Amino acid sequence: MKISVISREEDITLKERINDISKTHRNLNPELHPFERAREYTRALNATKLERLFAAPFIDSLEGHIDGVYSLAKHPTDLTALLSGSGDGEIRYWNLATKQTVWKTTGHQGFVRGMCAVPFGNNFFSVGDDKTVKLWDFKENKPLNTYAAKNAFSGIDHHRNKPWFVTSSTQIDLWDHERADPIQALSWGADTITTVKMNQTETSILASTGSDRTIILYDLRTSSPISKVIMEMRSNAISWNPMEAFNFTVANENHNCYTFDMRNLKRSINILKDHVSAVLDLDYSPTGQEIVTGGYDKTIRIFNSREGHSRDVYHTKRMQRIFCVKYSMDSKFVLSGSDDGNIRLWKNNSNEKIGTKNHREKASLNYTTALKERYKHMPEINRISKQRKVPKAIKKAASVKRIQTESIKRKQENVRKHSKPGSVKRVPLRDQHIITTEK
Amino acid sequence: MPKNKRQKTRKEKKKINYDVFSDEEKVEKENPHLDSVTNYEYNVDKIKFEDDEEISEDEAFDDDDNEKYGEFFSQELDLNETDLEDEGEKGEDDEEDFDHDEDMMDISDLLNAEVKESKNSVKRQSHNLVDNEALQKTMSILLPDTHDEEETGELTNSEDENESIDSEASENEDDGLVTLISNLDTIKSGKKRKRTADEVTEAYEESEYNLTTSQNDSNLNGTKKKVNVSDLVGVLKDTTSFGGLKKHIEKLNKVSNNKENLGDTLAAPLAKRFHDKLNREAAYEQSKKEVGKWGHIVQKNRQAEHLNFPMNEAPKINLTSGSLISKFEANTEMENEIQAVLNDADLTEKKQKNLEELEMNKYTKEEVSIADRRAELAKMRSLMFFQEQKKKKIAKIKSKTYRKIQRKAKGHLSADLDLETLKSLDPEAAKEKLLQMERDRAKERMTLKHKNSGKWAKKMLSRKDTDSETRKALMEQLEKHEELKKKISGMHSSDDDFSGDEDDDDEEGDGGEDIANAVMELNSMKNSISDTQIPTTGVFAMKFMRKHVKEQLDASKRSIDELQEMLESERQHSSDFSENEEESKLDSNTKVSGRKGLNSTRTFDDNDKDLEQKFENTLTSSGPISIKKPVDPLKPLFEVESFEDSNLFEGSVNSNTINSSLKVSEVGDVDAHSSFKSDSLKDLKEEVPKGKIEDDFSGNESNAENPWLSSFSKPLLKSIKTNSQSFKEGKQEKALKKFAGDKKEKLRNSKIKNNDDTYEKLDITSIAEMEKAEVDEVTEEVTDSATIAAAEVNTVLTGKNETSDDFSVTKDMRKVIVESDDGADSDFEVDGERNHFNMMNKKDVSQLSQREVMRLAFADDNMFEVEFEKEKVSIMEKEKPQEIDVTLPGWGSWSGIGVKQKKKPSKKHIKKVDGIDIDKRKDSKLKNVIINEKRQKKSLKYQIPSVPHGFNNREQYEKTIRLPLGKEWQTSDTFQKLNKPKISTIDGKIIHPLSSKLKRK
Repeated sequence: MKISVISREEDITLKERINDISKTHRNLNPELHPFERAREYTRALNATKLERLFAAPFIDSLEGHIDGVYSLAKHPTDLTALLSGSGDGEIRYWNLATKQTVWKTTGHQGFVRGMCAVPFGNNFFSVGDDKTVKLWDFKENKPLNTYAAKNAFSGIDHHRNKPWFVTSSTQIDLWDHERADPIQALSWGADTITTVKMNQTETSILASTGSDRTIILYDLRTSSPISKVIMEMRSNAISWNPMEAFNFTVANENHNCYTFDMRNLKRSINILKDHVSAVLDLDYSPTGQEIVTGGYDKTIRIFNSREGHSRDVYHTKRMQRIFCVKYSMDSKFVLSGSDDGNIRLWKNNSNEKIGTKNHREKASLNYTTALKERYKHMPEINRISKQRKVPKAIKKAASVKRIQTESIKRKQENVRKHSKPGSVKRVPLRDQHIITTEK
Repeated sequence: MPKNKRQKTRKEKKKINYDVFSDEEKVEKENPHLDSVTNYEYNVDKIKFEDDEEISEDEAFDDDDNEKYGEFFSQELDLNETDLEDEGEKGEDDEEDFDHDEDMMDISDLLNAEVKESKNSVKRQSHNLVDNEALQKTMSILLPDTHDEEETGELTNSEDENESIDSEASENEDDGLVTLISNLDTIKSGKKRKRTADEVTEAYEESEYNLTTSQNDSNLNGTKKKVNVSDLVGVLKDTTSFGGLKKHIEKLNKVSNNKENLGDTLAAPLAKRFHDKLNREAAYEQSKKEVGKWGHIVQKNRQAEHLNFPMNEAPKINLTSGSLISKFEANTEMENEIQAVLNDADLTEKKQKNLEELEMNKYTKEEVSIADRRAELAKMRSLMFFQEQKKKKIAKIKSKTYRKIQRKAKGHLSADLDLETLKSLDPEAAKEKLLQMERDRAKERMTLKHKNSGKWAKKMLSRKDTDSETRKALMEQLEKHEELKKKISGMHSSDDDFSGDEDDDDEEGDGGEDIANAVMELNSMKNSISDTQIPTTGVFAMKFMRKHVKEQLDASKRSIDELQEMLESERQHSSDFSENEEESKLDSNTKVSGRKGLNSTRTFDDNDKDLEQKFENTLTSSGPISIKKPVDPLKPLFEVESFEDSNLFEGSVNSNTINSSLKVSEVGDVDAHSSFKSDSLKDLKEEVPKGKIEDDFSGNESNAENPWLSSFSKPLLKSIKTNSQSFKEGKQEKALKKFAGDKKEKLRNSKIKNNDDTYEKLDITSIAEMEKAEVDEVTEEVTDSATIAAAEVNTVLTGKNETSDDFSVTKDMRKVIVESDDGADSDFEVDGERNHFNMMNKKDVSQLSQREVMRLAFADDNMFEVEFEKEKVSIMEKEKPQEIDVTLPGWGSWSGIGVKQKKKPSKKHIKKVDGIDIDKRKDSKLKNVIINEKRQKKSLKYQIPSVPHGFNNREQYEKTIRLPLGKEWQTSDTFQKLNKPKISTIDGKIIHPLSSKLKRK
């Protein structure tokens, strides 16, 4: 009599070492695996729960500054380099790998307003309220060069591949590394410019925000400003999408961020809501898919760059108002500098495991992520994945804000109802905050 | 301060330009729409006395200036990028000018009054100019105005001179303009004089000197002489230098003389503000276009299902040893040394290759042929090796079935071939085969192994209800026995060249026998065909299937007939030789079967067995129903022809009726009970009239007298009576009577035909039965069925007479009766009561047909409906919104004597229960349905309240979650593909912004 048995050869099935992978055989007969949707839903639910369970975004805080940190700079081609400038003029150069200060110095008298590293070199620039631009080497804490100017600076940014950098004060100045004086000056209107950012993809274009509520775009090729938007409230920061040359986002005083297509400034293409106070800084992730914002409400929020609401909010008890946020160049980490003098290092994905993952682990994570994505509309999963615990003040402020906006909306509706039909027009939210665009 | 100067001079120059071009009248003619503002400017020209500065300034041209000036006239200037700084400050300058000038004013006050006077007027004018600048700007787009600020760049070089001239002029304030011009030479020499007080003040001060220009003009016009270009340039005639200027002036003169050419005046540039705006717009358009070149890549990335970062990564290079070697260059010392050594030893790749090729060239032709031979041998060897391997592999196979198949396949070849052909092909094998055959024959004759003498065969034979398969197997065995026992003819004939008479006789005899056998075989086959039952259950019971089967059977029957004809003719042919023998050999059965074919010319072959085999094959393969071979080929048959002959009422009888009739005959057999089916009866009862059945009886000579018949027909009739009594219908009576009468007559006719008395008895019984049926006014179908039943009873009796005892016959009879009822019922539409009655008649539930079972099951359908309605109403009532009075009697009210009871409960004591109005229910208008509209709380968490954002409808959304993602349902490949993250990044890899390479050119 023949008996067929499942035979497992020992040398194939037994692991010699712990990391050996033994092949598992699966029977794909659907009869053996019933209720696939129900099972996958349960898996998705569990994965969502686990995601929240393991959400621990805070990695470390880099302590050392005595005053608040008002400017941060990352090196575009060096992952570990981080620069921070504080309100007392101190500049610190950090090594992110060791989370230690490499060196520190008092770089400016008064605030350090901005810093930027040279993408192709070992130097960086800093500007301050003391009307000077200083060129530094990463190796030593003494400035290599100092450029003097008439006005206090408010921001600085470097060209991607030329030895040029731009500063903002009452106007935009374009500097060459080699020249003592700016090689170009760009201005439109007389007000102070608060920040300037160069486009890293379309390198001749730069944008600035002014204290007169404007956003101005410049082109270095024609050496002139090219367009201007005046918004309802002033914008505090600006950031270009590194993957989409014509899109940029501004952090506005009215608690929102607005994404614009520079080709059509009459309306914003996206509004990022959720902050309950002015947004002070923002940065695009190098992938161009996410935006991190830091607000006056002491929270950091991470947005999907094409969605309207934040996917995550980070806060700690001791963290004060956040004046600068940055994405690390591998888009895995977020850095924030706040009023309390600490730089905090966060994970981009709060539940992500840091370190290497083996193949199976990756596959499993991919699977659960796909499941979560698939079943994200299910009420229970939706609820769990969106639930965040925020400080009471913020929750309260959010609810107040909601009431306010609702009331405004209601009032508008009432006005519309009681006036001649068509006389009170509906203005899309994306247009509401733009007053005019100028040529 | 120098800036102010510049400003001033610029404006002055402007005025001069006008002078140069033409008189004011000309300008006015040219531009009739010029307003007063421009007039002011033109009027300035009329000032003679105070304008000394300007004149002097103009006089002060030197070579350089001339060139510049000349250029200025010919070319349009635009913003130079190098002047950015100037431009940046310009705006501020414009505004600041006045403040500074006010300061200047103080200084100039220090100078003497006349100077002041003149200057003030000048300044006033210039101030007016400045004042009006804003206005002008607005118009400037339309008006061909002076060259504005743009000139500054060009004129900076002449600044110094101008200044010096200014100072000079201030000194010569007393002299007239003419004298000043005449003294120009001396002025030139005093170039480098130090600048004293600056008289260029533009502060506006209300005083008698600050009169309006128009006034000034009117005053001055009369008194002062107007300065012409000729006056100014006249001095130059004497000098040899200024060639360029002279030429230019000539040109200008020509222009001024020729009025038509005035149209060539250059258009004034736009105001800076507008100019900048236009510049910006153009620049914006340009940048938009430039930035738009990224559009495609952005679009692509947005639509991409997966994005891998970093994006601009260079593709990985796979390093192979080959690629390394090909690119290898000795860099280090050691490498160089090794390379050198290798080179010395000629061990480089190239050289080695060349050497090999050279070696190959050395072979001679023979050597090459030897090599070929060797290759061939090697090939053979390898082939042999593979063959050997294959054989070994096959030898290892242990499977018995495989071996069996192999064996059969081996034997098949030789078995297939005739002995004759085999002999011609391979005499050895033929001999062997012959021997084998002989051996087999001997063995068979000794053992009789195949004569159903085996254990299994005996057992099977002892069992009475053998099924078709076993019967077939038994038959096969017998056939084999026959085959083996047969004389081996081929060999004999081959051995002896000519056989004797005996052999011939034998052969002939064999042939006659063969024909007889074949005919018998055919008959039996025909029987078997007609014996085949068309299944009444399962798939084969379906109408089309049955039809198909029927067709197949017909076809096979036809072919049998053909063959029979052929055989018949053959037999005739053979009967010419030996008639007597044949007659004796022919069976009674073969006589009956079929007509004789007269004109058949086909010869009867020896291998008739093969033909038979073929037929069998066609029969067996023709349809899903296996055709069994009759156990007893000698059994009496109802032939198709006999049926047709005896058919009195209907002309045609289809095979089904034959079928049924055959079955009737089988009733008498051992397995009558099993084969007797209502179906066959159903088919039979309408088409086979009574008379025919009687004829059948008459054809059966064996059962002449049947003592059982009369006695058994009575209860049968009774049963029919009881059946029919319940369905009396007046209208049908007459028709039936008529019909019965006809039948009677016909039956009588047939009776007359049959002369035999014994048959009459039977006839009478049947007629009596008929009459009884008529009298009882039975419905048509019932009478039919009854008669048929009766007929069957008769047949049963006839069949049974010889074989079985009486008791069994009666039993059969009853069954027949019952089943005949059944058959009638199932075919005709009858109402429930009768059905019920029929069913009641049945003893066994298993005997109920499907239809009846269904009827039984749904007998009380109406009752269910009513119940359902009741339930629905109650549910509707329960679920509608309700108001429940929850007042507790006595509570909250006064008690005692004379207290009125409240009629209506107060509102707060009425508890409202939400529900659904009866009209609003989804099932309110649906008949057979109750829809539960209560919210299912448990299932709520698995339901999405609305279609999620981004999906148009439910189906679209559901489609996205249809396919499972897990490993249990997907292969590992698909698993990976399906779960690939949308954005994947690598830890510690810098993601650079998009590189400009990706931008579309």
